[in-house]
Amino acid sequence: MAGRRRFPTGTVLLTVGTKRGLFLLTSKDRRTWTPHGPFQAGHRVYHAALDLRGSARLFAAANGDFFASSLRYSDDFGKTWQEPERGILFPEGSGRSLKNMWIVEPGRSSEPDTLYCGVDPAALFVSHDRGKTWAMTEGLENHPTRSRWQPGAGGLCLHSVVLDPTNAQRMWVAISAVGVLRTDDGGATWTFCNKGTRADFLPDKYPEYGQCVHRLIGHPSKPDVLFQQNHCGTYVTRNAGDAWTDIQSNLPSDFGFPLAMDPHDPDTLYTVVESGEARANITDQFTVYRTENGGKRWQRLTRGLPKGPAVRLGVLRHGLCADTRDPCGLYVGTNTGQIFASRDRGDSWRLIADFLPSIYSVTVTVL
Amino acid sequence: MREIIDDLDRQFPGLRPQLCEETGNLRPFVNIFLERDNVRDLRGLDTPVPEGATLHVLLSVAGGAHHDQHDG
Repeated sequence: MAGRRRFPTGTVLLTVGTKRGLFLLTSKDRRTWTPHGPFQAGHRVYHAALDLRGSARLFAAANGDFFASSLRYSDDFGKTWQEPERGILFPEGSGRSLKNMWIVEPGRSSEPDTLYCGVDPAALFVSHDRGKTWAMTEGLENHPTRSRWQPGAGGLCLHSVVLDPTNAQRMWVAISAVGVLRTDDGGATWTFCNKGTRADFLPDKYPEYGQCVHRLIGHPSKPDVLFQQNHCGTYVTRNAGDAWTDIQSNLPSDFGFPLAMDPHDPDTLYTVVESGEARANITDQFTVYRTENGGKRWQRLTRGLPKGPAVRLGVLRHGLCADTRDPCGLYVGTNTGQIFASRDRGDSWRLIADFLPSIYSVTVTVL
Repeated sequence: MREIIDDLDRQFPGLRPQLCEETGNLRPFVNIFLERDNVRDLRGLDTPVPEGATLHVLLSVAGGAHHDQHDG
């Protein structure tokens, strides 16, 4: 618990994974922010997570260009880091080598020592000892279609893990460009869940798999409801992934990466869509989009966000998140190193950090 | 060469992943020199190492363009 005491209770803490390391930003009032770091500055930190189950443990998916990648953890908010005893390594003989770690996801509250890590080439690793040792899960690796999976532009990356909080046997993963898969037997077997999601870049626009899903999130109180942002649309499922409905509605593009949810009103979602060609805001106005009715209609949120002919910002799949305060705070990190924050559920925004390296991910925890 | 890396990993657990990928190949920016010869120009990790030889393990922190594949 020593680590948690470093900041007062109620502190809002952002982890910011960037092309050159991990930064933390802390605030008591969500107005004034204090930066910390960088940590792991020689690595591309695609994702980080602060696990508050038990003592506070900070995980950073630190991908190396020159050094080996490692899912290190810190019990003192980044001051010192531990190397796992057995890290994210493919079994010898598998013929695969780790390219990048994409997401670290703490397990359910009922499994306090368990974490999951999604990687490229597509695989799911699990730890049952809070990140000291990791092992690849065999079920996904042995999927009968595994040899035919194709990468997206970002690689063959398993970037989203959604756990059913009410059913320890059920979870979903999202892989680009394979789609969504679900297990109902604790990971032994996996079923595709892509019905109704488009793949405009394939001859068959609605294949069983091959969709380029960009981000998958779950509903906190209705486990059968999930949302996804995709290369080709924004979707909801209300039957655990058996079928999806397009909720692009009035969004100006079917291409986007991030997706976040207001924890107090899970019909309120946030996304940033962009030009698929330019990978930036479509007009001169950088815009976050909000729906308050599960995607029937989207509102443009622009107050405090930059506008101009030279404003072209991109937001990657883990670059948007919402905190648990009420009203919720929103945080969006750009691939040009800005973080914009809202403390009124997106109605207005402020720049809280600039000149960071390219931002891959922003997560938020209220201590 | 492989036996030496195995032995180093026994003495310093976790060293092998810093030098080699899981497939057993040397990492792209890790260079091992047997005296003045890069083992890549010899027989890679199958290079025999004579008794008393000096090995240099050097990390080449390469510069230049690095295509960022994150976006897509």
